[in-house]
Amino acid sequence: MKTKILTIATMIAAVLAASSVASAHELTGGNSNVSAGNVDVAVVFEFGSGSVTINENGNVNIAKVIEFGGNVDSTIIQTGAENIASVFQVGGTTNSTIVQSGGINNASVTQIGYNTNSLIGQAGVMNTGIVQQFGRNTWPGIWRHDWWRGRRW
Amino acid sequence: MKISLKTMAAVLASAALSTPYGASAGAISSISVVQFGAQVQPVVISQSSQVNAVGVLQVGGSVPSASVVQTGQNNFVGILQFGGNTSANVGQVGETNVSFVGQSGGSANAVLGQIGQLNAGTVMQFGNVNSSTVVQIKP
Repeated sequence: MKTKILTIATMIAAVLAASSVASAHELTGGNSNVSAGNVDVAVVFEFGSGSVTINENGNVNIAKVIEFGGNVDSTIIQTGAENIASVFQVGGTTNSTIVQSGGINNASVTQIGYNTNSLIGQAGVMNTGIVQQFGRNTWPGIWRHDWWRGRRW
Repeated sequence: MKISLKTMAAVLASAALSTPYGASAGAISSISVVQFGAQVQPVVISQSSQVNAVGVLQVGGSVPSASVVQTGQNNFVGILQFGGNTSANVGQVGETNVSFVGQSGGSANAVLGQIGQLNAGTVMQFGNVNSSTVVQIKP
């Protein structure tokens, strides 16, 4: 009788241990998947004339571009739930194009040069953008489409 | 009957323990390439382990070139190039992709392609003519 009880107790303990280890393993995997899910980060720094192209389509997209040079050009395309783009350019002719499509879009452009051109296109629920241009010839353009209100301006 | 119950318990316990050990024991591949001189040769690296890491340093030469392709769960690349016309191409497919490219020379060209859940790419270029393309895609 004693042996039988010991055997049953051993089996129950083993099953409980197995289930607890399996549960802990599943929880760990779930948490890690959530924390590491769908994030794109791109940082580009250039010193000299050049062009940058960034295309991101994660859930959260972050792009930062810093350019110093004669003629610099930057193009950023982001499609995701949350998009953040930042461009800082210094040069003779600076061109920046940002296109964002998603729930929350944030774009920031700062340009210093003789000719500064900036174009921002945003389609989403909450769109925010800042363009700062310090140049002889400046051309800023912002196009927005608010999905929530169904209007554009 | 008693023996079979004990055996069952032992099998259950061993199965419970074998799962996490098997998941954590992944393959790791690490490669480092360092080149100095006027005759720097092109570097081509392809990795397909669970964790992949590459470090490339090229100093000198007219056309330092590096191409890295990684397909694994976690992929890491670091490339530093100093020379005439520097060129770096990185392709990463996995859950986590991290890459860094630093270039200095007459012309600097960098192309990063990343497909994964967590993609991070950094490009620093110091050249007369610079060109960089970063494409990050969620699968």
